[in-house]
Amino acid sequence: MKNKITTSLLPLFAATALACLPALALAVELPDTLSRPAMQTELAARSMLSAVTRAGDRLVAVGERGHIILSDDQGQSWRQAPSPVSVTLTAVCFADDQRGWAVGHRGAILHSSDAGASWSLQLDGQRFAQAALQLAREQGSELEYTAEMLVEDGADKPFLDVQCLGDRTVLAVGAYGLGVRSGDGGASWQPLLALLEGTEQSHVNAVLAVGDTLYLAGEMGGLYRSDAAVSQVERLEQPYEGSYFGLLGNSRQLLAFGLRGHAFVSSDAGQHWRQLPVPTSQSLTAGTLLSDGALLLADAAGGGWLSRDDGRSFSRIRAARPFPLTELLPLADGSVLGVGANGVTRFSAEQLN
Amino acid sequence: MAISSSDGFQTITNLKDFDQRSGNGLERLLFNYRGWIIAFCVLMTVLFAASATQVRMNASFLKTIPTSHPFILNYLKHQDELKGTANTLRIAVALEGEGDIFSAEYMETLRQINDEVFLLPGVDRSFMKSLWTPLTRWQGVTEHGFDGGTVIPDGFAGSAEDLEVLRGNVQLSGEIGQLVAPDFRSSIILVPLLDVDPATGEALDYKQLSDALEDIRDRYADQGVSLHIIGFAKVMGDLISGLYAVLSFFAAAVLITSAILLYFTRCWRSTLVVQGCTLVGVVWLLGVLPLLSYELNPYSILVPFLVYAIGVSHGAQKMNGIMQDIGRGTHKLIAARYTFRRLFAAGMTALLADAVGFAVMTIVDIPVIKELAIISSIGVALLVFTNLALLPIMLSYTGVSPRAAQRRLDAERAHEQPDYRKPAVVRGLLAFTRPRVAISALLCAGALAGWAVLEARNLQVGDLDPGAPELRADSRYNQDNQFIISNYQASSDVFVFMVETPAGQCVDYQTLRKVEELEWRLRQLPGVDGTSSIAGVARRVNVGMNEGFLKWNELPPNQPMINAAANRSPRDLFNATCELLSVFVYLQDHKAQTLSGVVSTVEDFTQEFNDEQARFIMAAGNAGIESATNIVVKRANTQMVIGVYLAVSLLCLLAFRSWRATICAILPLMLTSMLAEALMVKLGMGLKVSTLPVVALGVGIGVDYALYILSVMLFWLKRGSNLSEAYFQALNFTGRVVVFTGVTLSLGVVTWILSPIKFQADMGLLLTFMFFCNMLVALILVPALACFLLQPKHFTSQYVLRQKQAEQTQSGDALHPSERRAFAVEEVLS
Repeated sequence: MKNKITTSLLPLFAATALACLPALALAVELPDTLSRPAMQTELAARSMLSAVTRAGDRLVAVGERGHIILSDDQGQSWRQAPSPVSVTLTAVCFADDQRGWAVGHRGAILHSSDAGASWSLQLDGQRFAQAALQLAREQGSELEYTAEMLVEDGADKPFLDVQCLGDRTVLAVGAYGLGVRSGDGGASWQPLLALLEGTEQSHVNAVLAVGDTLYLAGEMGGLYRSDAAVSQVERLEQPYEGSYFGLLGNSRQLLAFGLRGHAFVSSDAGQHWRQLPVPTSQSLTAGTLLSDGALLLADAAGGGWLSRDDGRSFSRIRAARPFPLTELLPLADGSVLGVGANGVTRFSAEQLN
Repeated sequence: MAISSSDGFQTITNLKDFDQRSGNGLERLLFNYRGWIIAFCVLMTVLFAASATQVRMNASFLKTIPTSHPFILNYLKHQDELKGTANTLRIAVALEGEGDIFSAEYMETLRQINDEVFLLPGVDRSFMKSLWTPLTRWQGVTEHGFDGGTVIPDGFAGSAEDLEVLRGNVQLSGEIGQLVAPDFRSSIILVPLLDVDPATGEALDYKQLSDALEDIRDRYADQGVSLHIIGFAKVMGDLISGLYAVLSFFAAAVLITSAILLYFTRCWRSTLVVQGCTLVGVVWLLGVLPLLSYELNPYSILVPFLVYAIGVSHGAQKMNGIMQDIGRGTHKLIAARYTFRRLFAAGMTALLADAVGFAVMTIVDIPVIKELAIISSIGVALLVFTNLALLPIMLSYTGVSPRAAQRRLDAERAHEQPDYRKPAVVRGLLAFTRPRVAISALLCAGALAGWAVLEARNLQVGDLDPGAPELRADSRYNQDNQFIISNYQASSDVFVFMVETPAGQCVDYQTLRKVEELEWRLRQLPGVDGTSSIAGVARRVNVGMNEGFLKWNELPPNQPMINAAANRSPRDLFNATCELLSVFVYLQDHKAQTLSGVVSTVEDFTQEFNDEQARFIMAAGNAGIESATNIVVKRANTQMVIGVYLAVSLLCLLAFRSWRATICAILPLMLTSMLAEALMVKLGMGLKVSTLPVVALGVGIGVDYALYILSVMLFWLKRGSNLSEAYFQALNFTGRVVVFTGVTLSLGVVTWILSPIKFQADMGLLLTFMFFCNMLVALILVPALACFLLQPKHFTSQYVLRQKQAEQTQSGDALHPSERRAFAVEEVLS
């Protein structure tokens, strides 16, 4: 669907670009969002946040305009860390309490080795596309043409999720089936051509590692499974044709949730799925499993859906400030921190019991 | 029988003894043909009265803004394309009882109101929006793409089922916070208006529209709903209604001044003549307005009040001399001619001083103030004829009541009696000529001035009250505004900046980057609540096209994506040819600090980034216009204060030919001006279009008092009197006139404090203060300053010469005070 728009409007874009040419000499342009550090602002903790994770005791959240915010008091107060880019960051993971990665739009991958206090750019969409093209040529892959198009488009596609896999291995996935992996702590990055192929270039919105197996979820009913090296991507049974926004799970069960209140659970590594009766028609955009086994999902209108009976029934709970959420993170005090459209909010421990 | 009077005018009882050829040419022309003059005036009055019925009351928005400021030029240039700032009414229909809007009764009432509003003249029907209009749709993402429909389901009959569907549709409409309050207790009818009726070509009649809305509001009040109506057109309608209320204040002012005048003269005849002639002047003024295609607006409606008050105080001066003459037995025609002879030049000088105050206001680049200056100058010019010429002619027919004349004469003669005891007030005022009292008065004044200067440092520019600052904070309109602001995502203070680009390139990625950058910089400011632009829409559409997944919240770094987003954008964010973007900045208030923060942020940005691809310009939106007005008002205030003080000082120098006397006249005025500013701070008034003219008017008219007092004092000082005597003489001759003028001027404008229009009330309060306080400081500080600046020793060198002149004119005991000025002016001119 999106590819169609891109190609049909391409001539128009070209014409626009040509028309700009004579005046370019006089133009005063802003630095590229990939080379422009994020502005330090009080608004960072109140603007859109995409993801939140732990680096030891510290909480690290990322969001729009390259914002990275840190909290050392379990989300009571936040301060902004300098970020080398001002693209929207979409996901963050930490391998240990010091080393972590954040990914975002335009193929940005940032790395921190000091618990999020400072970040450096390790990869961008342009370098990714070049690497993909080189790899496709080396392998004589059918994807060479696709990789050429990636180079031509430039850095315009986002990574949407990142997963830290052990000590030095990191995996990022994103729009149009793009994926990239580093096995050396980010010193070098390998494009995942198998993912591009296995997803037929549709968006991958989430990745989850369970043991040595990776589960991936994306648009248009896309559920996939692969080995840790992503050498082979296998499409799973499709219980639903709509899109998934997130995955949860452990070795016992796997949970996928997405568009219009749809959530499915599988206890056989994705072979069979059972739909959960979440009583909403709003999209489910975030979820978490609590330490006591309860399941909390959040919808696009900011409502929380709590199940304490393995997903057989859900009750509605309300966040302190309700707004569309993108990620939930259980805290030590029993409450759940939520990040999303308007920054940070919280489901209180009392509500969750 | 001809008895020589003390001021050189003979008391002539019989008309035959009077030389008709005496007096200057003008006097002979006026009085020897007085029948013709009266006939001419009657004719003119009839004509002007007929013309005056054509005066239109209007509240033109354009006239209150500085039309040559760059912001306004930019606004006017793009006015037609700034759709988002167009003239739109919001009518919130709120439930009074329990429950929510998803009830059959509420929906039915809303439908009826919707249909009535739909039919009002001036409504742009195809763009009207409410829950009942087809424009209000819901949209949802499904597995197959977008789905949608009208919010009101087909075949809606108000059943419980229908209402449940409606509730669901509203949730999906994105109108919560826009058309529907989040608490589901009210919903809005959005009514775009056409400024010009395309069928008839007539301009929208705000008053008529406002009245029709009030009628609807009244009729539905007992149906369980209350209506809250806001929008520019409603403000205008309320202002025009307020103008009619002001008319009744004029009647009140006439009644009050009549009472004062009657007390002052104790004579019905002369009271009627003075009021009559002054009102003739006002009628002429109103008659002139349509001929020069001026309208009466909430500002210029002040002019008839001022002209009337000035006219009455000048009229009252005439009565002083004429009563003495008639009391002595002079024939009324001769007494009238004497009065004309005495006072014409003096009156001209005084009116000139007033006109100077008005004329200085023309330097302000705001049409209403220019108009105010021009109309009041015309008014004062007309007074020269009606009150300096017509009034004595009328008196030559009517004369005055003999009893009142005798009373006045007795009072004057009492001063000459050896056992005359000065009234307590006079004795109190005379104390200020003594050094010890004078120095304490000056120290007090200095302390007051110091306090005022400290206070005035906090003087804010612009409007400080929330909502529509033209109307009172507790007015129905501002209550409605409060209701809508607190229940909906609406701000009544919107600053719009525009971006000019080459045609077709308005949504260029680089341009939108800059727009975003500036928006983001603005959102860092404390007074900024939010912004909206095509760049923000592109982000939202990017999320929307990816099934509402928030992680796609990014300006797509890819032109085709942006173009696709632009196709889904509301049309108020860019124009049809795609060469102009409008960016809306929603503010918490319209305080000067907030506005100047926005302006300087945008200005810094334009310095850095304006190029051929994207030229960022200011400004539109009410806050944008107001920021331009603030800039102009702030600059004009300094210019005007300097201008009016220069002009008045020059006038004083000419009149007194003494820098010492000029200082005595000017310093007290300055104290009043400072106190007025401190008063504004204390009362929470900002310096704005309406309060700007007050200082100029106050100083221009206020200098009269010092002119009256000092001219007499100088006359006597030059004749060798000591300061106390000189001031006593001044009080004797001019004290009554000064007090009377102060009181009439104050009363002429004090009624304004009751005006439903907030800025008129502010103007009324400040002008009353200026007029009254100027009178007080003139009576107290002029002698106190004179104690140090104007002692007889300063005039000894001229003494002999002056004495000779004084002998030639004999004693000046009964000289009318204004004559002193005439005398002083003649001296200057000779």
